[in-house]
Amino acid sequence: MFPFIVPDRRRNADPLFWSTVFSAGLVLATAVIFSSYLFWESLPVWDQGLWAFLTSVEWDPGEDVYGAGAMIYGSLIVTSLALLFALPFALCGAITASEFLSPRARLVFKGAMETMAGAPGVVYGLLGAAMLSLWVKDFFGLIDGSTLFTAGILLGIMILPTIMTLAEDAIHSVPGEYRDTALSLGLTPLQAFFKAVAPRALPGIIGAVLLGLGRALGETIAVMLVIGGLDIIPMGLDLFSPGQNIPSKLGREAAEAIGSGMHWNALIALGAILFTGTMMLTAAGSWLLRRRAV
Amino acid sequence: MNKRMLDRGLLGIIYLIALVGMIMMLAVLWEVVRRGWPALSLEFLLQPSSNFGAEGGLLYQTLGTIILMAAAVLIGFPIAVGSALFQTEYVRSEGVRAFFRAIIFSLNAVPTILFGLAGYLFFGVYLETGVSWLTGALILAIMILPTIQASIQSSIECLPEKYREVGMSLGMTPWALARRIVLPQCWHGAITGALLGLARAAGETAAIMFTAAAFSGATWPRSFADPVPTLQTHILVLAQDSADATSLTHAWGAALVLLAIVFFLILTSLVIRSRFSMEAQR
Amino acid sequence: MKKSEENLEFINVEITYNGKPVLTGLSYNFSKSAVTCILGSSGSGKTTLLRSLSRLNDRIRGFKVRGEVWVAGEEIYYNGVDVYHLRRKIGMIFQSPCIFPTSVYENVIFGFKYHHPERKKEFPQIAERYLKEAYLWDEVKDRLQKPAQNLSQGQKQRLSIARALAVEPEILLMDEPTASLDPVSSDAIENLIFSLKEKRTIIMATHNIAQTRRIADDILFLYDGTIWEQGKATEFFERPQKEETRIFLEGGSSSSS
Ligand SMILES: Nc1ncnc2c1ncn2[C@@H]1O[C@H](COP(=O)(O)OP(=O)(O)OP(=O)(O)O)[C@@H](O)[C@H]1O
Ligand SMILES: [Mg+2]
Repeated sequence: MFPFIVPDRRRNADPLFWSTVFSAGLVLATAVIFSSYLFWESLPVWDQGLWAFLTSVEWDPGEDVYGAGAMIYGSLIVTSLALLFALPFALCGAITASEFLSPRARLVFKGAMETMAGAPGVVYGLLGAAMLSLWVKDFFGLIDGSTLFTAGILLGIMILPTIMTLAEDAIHSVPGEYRDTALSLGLTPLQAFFKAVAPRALPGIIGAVLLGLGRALGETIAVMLVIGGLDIIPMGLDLFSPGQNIPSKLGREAAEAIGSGMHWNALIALGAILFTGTMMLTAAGSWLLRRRAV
Repeated sequence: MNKRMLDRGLLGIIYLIALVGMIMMLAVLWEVVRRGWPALSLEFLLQPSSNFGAEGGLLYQTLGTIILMAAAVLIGFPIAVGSALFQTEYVRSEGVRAFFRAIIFSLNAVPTILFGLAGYLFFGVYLETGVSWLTGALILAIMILPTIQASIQSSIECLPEKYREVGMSLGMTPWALARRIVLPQCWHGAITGALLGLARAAGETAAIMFTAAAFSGATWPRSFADPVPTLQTHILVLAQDSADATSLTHAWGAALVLLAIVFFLILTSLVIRSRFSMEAQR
Repeated sequence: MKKSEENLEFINVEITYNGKPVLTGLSYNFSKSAVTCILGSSGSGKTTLLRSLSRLNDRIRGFKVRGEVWVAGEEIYYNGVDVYHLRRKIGMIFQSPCIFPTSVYENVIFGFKYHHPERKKEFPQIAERYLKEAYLWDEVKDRLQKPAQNLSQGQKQRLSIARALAVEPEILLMDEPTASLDPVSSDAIENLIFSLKEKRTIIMATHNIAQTRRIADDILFLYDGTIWEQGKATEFFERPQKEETRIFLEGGSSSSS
């Protein structure tokens, strides 16, 4: 009946099957309900013109004028910065920990990483406001240290341990035979890693990056404290200007707009954009993976 | 040997970058400890707060955070395991799996404040549960679900198919395969996932601000409908009151306590994990 | 249509991966309580044929079987079949041995423990009995609680045979079981096969022609995606019907001598 499920007559008597179906169904239902809520509540905004909403920079609840341009721009910039900053450290750290550290050192390393992965956003936010934005201000000679750049770096630091520990898990769970085979062919340990281990760990690594990315896209408190909070798209690619991204906008205005009115609809529309964006990113990731697999 | 030199160089660079990343993380850790340390004392840990957190301690905030965390994971973890197993053990179509993956990652990227507000509207207003710790735990559970599930699933997917095939050829049902072969070999991934979920729940502020958190004055919950004070919201309130030096110190102190809770959890898991891996090597 | 309990038969079967046929026009009735050897060059579909008999490829998307496969009086690709019961009756020894990362003892009783959790007291006897049957007992009797991962490849292979035997299968599928064994343990496995075939039907994929001569009752020769030649072992070796078979046999004997 369901060709995508492994065929099996006794499935109905299998206690695991129904509980897993239930769990998966719950996840699916949450996502469906949540996303339809997002799109339903943001309908009034789409009615006024999708393109205008996406590109306009003007956001004025007093006049009921809403444009998401600045927030979309800010989210793109901040997230890319965070990823660019975090990836090299995270991947090198994961490789080092899983391939070249002794088991004991690896445990210590992982402990530290997981603790930092678990450190609350608000703690990073405190640090960002108290230190990072001051450094950025002094180092680049700015009037104010709350910029897109600061937010991007802070997010990068924040998602670094998450990506690192998950990528490390993915690399570490590749069976030893792959390494042994490659080593026996005369490859150096590093080459063995790139040629034999990395391709097998790739799905896990991409998953780790996507999870980190998601955290960067959705983090509210930490970003709010350091991004500056101005709805503008700076001229050129000026990273050192204050800005706004979607979560920080939501964090700032959602409490006052909650429940009803055009303002609320516009905020929900921002959420819907973010949701759609992630959906597409993930689809792209899966597509990449699948193309490699075939 | 030119190639070997190149290799060495590359390895050196990798080590260096890893080291810098590590140092950065340790610096963050150190900074929180340095700033939070002056606030710490036995009274700070064991007394309820007074004067809006500027005086007294964190007893109920700590309790509240722990209650929320534990409840969220108790709700979220079984669902995450179930949903991951559904996809690895029963679904054989790559398309369906990709679809689920997209859903999971999209849920993961929803700004937590949206969860908070939507959750508040759904549970608090529509279902009329009001501001309560159970509402908060439910919202947190939904929020951490993607993290836990993705990490469990990726570790299961790394298990070579041949282990499963042996079990299958011995006539085992999927339930038996999961319990005797898949989970025993993949539980480290499940633990990592649960921990990351716990830690995320511990640190989440935006989602519970409107749904579960009471500000100072509240004590432990006496029923499912009571709100609890939490460390996270406490920090935020204190930090916004940043003119006052003691408030700020208390905020760092609370941040340190929060980190210590996370650290304790992870330490426990590491001990369990290392003991297990030694047994396997013996 | 009902077949007898011991029937093991392909009726006009075609096996495809993602629409690409691997085996076509298979029709064969395996004789019971005998050793049937499947010969064929690498990639000719021996493993695929064996796996299709216990539906081990269910999890592989794009794997399709057309036609009828009868095992113990049931058509197994018909939706109503109980695959777990089926697989329990059919033991499988894989081409490369797969050992769980636990002790030797736990590995042997792995399947038995699952099917008879209540017979806890018998576990040690069972372990001993089947390890002996697989000619492994003497080598591992004082390291039963040690990790099985440290065994040699041949020992692992015999361990996986013991593990499969412990659930008492009626039919045993072996995918090149002696490929990684020394002549002595290989002999031991051959003896084991001899003793097993009184009660069980054994189907074995192999490359080793000398070995096939020693133990096979029937032969299936796969070539070009189909059963090229079949028959009693003696006749097969004495009077191969087809040119390709002769080339295969001679190639085999010239490389082994
Ligand atoms: N999962 C799969 N997907 C697609 N094609 C497959 C799959 N498994 C096997 N094949 C193909 O089916 C054919 C038969 O493979 P099979 O493993 O049965 O060969 P074999 O006779 O056992 O070879 P060997 O003696 O080397 O073990 C091969 O061409 C192989 O590439
Ligand atoms: Mg084969």
